Amino acid sequence: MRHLPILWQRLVSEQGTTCPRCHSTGEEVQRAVKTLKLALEPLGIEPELQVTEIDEVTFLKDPLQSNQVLIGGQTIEHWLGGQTGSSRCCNECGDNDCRTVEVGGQSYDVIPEDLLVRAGVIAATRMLDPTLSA
Amino acid sequence: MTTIQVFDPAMCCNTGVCGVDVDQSLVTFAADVDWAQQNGAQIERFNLSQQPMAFAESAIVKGLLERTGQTVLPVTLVDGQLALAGRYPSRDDLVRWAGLQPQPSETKEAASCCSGSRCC
Repeated sequence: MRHLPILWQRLVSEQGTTCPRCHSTGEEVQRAVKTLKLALEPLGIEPELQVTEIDEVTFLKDPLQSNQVLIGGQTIEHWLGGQTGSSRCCNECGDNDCRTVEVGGQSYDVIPEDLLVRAGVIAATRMLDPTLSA
Repeated sequence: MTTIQVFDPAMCCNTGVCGVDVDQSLVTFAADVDWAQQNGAQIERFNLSQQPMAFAESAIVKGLLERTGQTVLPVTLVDGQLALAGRYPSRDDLVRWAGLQPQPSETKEAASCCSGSRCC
């Protein structure tokens, strides 16, 4: 069984809280990983979710690191042909603009399950392509 | 010869490039398919709304649809094996899979034509 690493990282405050955007994305990520496990198992690929916390110091240096999902080492924007955007978020995030994902002319604050699943399937099938050297 | 099969989502027509609000990725892919076919590639496309039986008859496509839903479309098979799902192949993908000669890029052509600040 080959492994498809999925990394989701988000700001967690000293009080152990995160913002609504990251909280909701976390739920979508969990659902997407369940779907991907079922979808990819017959292909011999198992998604492996790693959830990491970003502290406030790291967040303030680069707010776009928070609510970032990497699949197979690449952002979901890479797999979906989208772009990273930003927008004002909430109290936890202060005056910083937080990460959004722009795909197909739409901007997403919370990354929906179907985008995560699609990115995961693209990444997994790329792993299977013998004509790709990388 | 390599056979490339592309299973499209439900679309209004064979290529999905009719109508007023056309998805640019469909336009690009239709052009890439046309180019690849002209260069000898064997490519078939199946539209979910017009050829649902083709989807049902492919165990790979049917299985993916059952487990993931239509999010997984488009699906591309190369000689019956899963090659890509979730997005359309690029022209580079088609070139690799079909064993075609890569098209020289415009950048390389420009580089061979122009030198420094002078150009032809």
